[in-house]
Amino acid sequence: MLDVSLLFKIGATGILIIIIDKVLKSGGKDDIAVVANLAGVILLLIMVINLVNKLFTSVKTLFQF
Amino acid sequence: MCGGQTMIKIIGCIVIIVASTMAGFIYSERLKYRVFQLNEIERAVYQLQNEITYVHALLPDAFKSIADKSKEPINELFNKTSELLFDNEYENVYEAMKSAVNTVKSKLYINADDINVILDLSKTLGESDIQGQNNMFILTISNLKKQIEISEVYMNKNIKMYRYLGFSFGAMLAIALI
Repeated sequence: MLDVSLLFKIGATGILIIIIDKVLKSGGKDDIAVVANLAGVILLLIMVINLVNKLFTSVKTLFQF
Repeated sequence: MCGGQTMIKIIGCIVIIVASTMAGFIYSERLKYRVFQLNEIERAVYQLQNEITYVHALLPDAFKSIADKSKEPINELFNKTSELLFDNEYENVYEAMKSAVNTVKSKLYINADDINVILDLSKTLGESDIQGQNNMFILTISNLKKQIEISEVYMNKNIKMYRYLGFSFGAMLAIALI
């Protein structure tokens, strides 16, 4: 069964990234907002990379006869 | 056992969020201090103008007198300059002022542009007649007014941003660590 807490984590991080982006843009710091967005995306990728890895290994085992 | 662990986790997250929020607030206070110190310097420059054009005071005495009349970090700057001028340690006012700025730099929240405005004034102090110095004072005060305006706009724009950012980064860190 999939761990649901990870989904909540991803959701909460997404909301926070949106807030940071909005705040930075309203302060006129558009370039830093882009960097913050990228950092958030990378953070989320680090969170899900284990699951992606698991998916790939299971797909690989599926095609190994 | 499990209950105790979640308790520690929750406390840790709260500590992280509170700490980063406070960091945001403290950083945004710096912007307020900059406006305050610039206003204080403007007032001090007006008083220096009076000391020179009306009282005809000697420069070290004039600095001493405006140091007595101004508030915390700014009075140290003028006090130090006055002491250095009394001791004849430097060739001109500019170098004395520069060294005084370097000594109190840790307490000043104003940036390099603001410091340049005061140092520009000190370059001409005591090197021309009253009319010339008056012109220099008018120029300095208009420059200071510009800097105050810039810093006020910057403060209003950024003070809220730093507060929100502090909280958001703390919350982000807490979520990443859970």
